[in-house]
Amino acid sequence: MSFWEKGYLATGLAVLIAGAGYFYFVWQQSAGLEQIAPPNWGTFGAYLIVVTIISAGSFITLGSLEARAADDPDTVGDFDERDRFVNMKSLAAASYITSIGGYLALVWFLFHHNGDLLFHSLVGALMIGEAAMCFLHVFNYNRAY
Amino acid sequence: MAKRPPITNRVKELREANDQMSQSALAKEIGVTRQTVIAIEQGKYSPSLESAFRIARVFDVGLEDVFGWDGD
Repeated sequence: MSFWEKGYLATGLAVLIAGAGYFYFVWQQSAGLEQIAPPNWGTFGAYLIVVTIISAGSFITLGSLEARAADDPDTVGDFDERDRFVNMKSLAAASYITSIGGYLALVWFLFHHNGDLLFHSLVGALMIGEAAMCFLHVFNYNRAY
Repeated sequence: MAKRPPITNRVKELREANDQMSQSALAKEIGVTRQTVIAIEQGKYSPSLESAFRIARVFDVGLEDVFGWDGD
């Protein structure tokens, strides 16, 4: 598994774990309020911080581990034609997934007219899109072209 | 898993015949990562035309001595 594959896998898992935490807190708050909890900086900010720390931390740790094991440490993290091709394919597919999630959130809003629910649905769509982008990278690195 | 591309290659064979050239050394010569050389040798990735020419030049052979077509 290459440096980029490992990094995307770690980031995808970070998004899923932090996303599950986000929706667990929203669910807890909603149960206490007996209605959909309004968005707040505490929960959303915590999600962003956890994802950023895990993602950046894994890329930095993987980079230093790979550099120690590589014959030529300067080449760790290089991005070549195959990386660009995989990146382009993965981003294109992930953008469709994100768009579909966004449209579904808007359709849901048309039925419920609840802005809080719309916010959480859009956050969910973005999380799914981000996780899909990461896992599509891993998938595309392993399939044949 | 997706069907393999119909392009075959003799990169591994030529590399080994060329003083057991390492995958890293070939990667450096043609300007790609070692993972890309591995993917090319495994037939999982068809390189760009530019990289194909660079590979042929490294081994001092023609393009068709490195790559072949295995499709209809």
